[in-house]
Amino acid sequence: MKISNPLSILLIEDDTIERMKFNRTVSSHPLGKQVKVQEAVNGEEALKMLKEENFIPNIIILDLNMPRINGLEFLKILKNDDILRFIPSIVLTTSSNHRDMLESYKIGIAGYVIKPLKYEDYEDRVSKLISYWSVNELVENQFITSPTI
Amino acid sequence: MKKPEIPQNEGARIAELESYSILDSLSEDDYDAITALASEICETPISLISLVDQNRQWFKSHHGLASSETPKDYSFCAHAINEPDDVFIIEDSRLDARFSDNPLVTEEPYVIFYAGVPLVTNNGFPLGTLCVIDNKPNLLSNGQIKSLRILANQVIKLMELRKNEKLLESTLNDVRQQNEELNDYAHIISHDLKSPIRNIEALVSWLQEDYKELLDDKGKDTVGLIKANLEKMDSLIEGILKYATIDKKHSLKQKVNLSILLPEILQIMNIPEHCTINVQDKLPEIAGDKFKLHQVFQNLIDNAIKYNDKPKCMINIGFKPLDNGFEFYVEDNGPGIESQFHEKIFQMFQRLDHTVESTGIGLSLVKKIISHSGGKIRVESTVGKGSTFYFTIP
Repeated sequence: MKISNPLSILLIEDDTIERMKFNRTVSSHPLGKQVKVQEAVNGEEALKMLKEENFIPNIIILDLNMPRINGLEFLKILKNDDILRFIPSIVLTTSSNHRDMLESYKIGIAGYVIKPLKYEDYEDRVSKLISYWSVNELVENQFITSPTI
Repeated sequence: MKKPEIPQNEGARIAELESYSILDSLSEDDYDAITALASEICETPISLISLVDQNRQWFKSHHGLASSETPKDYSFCAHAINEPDDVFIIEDSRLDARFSDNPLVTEEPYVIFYAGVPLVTNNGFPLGTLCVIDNKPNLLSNGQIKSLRILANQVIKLMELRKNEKLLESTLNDVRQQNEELNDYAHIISHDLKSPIRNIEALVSWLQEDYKELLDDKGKDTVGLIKANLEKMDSLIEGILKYATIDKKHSLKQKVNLSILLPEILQIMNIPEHCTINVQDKLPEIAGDKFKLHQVFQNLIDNAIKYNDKPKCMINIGFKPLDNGFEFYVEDNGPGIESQFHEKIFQMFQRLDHTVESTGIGLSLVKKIISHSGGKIRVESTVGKGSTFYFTIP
């Protein structure tokens, strides 16, 4: 399998082991070498990377329950930003709370994936997520920042 | 003119008045009927339900008078409430030094005759009066005075009712809010408990994968047991969360065709080879919450399979119509349940065996759903032969 551009992911996750799980899944994925994962431990740090360091990933994967700025608050800020609103954001959480899910879709997420108990199942879900986004046309950094569009 | 004296405990009296949240409320037929009746019985053109506020008297009902309040200083009622036990009667206010130059006497509405029964609350506070007023000198018979007292009592009863309704309303609101908080709380707790379990699961999986050459069979068994226990912990948390978040309020009642729902449930369940499930033809369409009905059937079928001890597991599902609603049953040929446990199995965390899959939540969840929808559940069983769970849905 071949993709034209590497897939750049911003993973926002406060839990160390969850970040390890994600990275391990990516590295065992057939496209793993073409996936670049940047990590932020909370929404605040992510916003700093996105806004101050002008880091524009292809997709954002985030947990909902995080300290300081939680996932929903982060998504609201993102969707109110003229540039950042174009980045597809996928929620990856243990919360099966229906209200959280509805609220996330209302704000405008691109997916809601529940972390299953078994690592095996987790690996399956996250691999599919990576495969899916790898075949998608994604908004390029220069495209969304360019004033000519 | 003599201004009315300020009653003792005026602060407490005003607080009591405010506790009824009646001041400046809209007029109500029940109160208006009483003033109309008082006016009729006492043969006076005017009757008022007057509540004495800090600087005014305000009329909850004003029969035969246009204004809805007057200043307290001119108020007859403010005098009347200083003698809470007596009926306050002025036969001709023009001859009474306290009132002869009162603008309510010398001008419209010409309050010449006045009779007021204090409205005394159960706590002993006079809040105002039920009074009758005439534009000419008058007298009340004993019968009329007695009737006026009876009507004043009715006013107090109406006010008490109003207060209780408000209290009930605010209590209900509190309960609703607490329920919502509890619901959120259950989600947060379950999230916080689930996260470390997921972490342990991943770490153990990596141990299993990355060190499979180093682990001997005993070590692999131990890892397997850790994982099985994690699964149990997870289903416990999930079960508690489901149980805690089942509530009446957010039930979505819709038409559910069980002839469609049952096959759907069976399709997503893992039915082992040795199990035969017979579902009665033409199950009814009922009004209920599809998601909850799903949980009820799935839990009962799941139990019937999980605890079955026969080489060929047989499960029958059917129903019979009742006068109001339906009775459904899930029958199995499992080990059966001794009669002393027939109540206990529906209690939270009660289990009859200690297999890893059993959490002791399933049946209590089923019972909670069914009793919330107004139904009942029971079990009939012969030990060694099987059990049948019956439940009704109105």
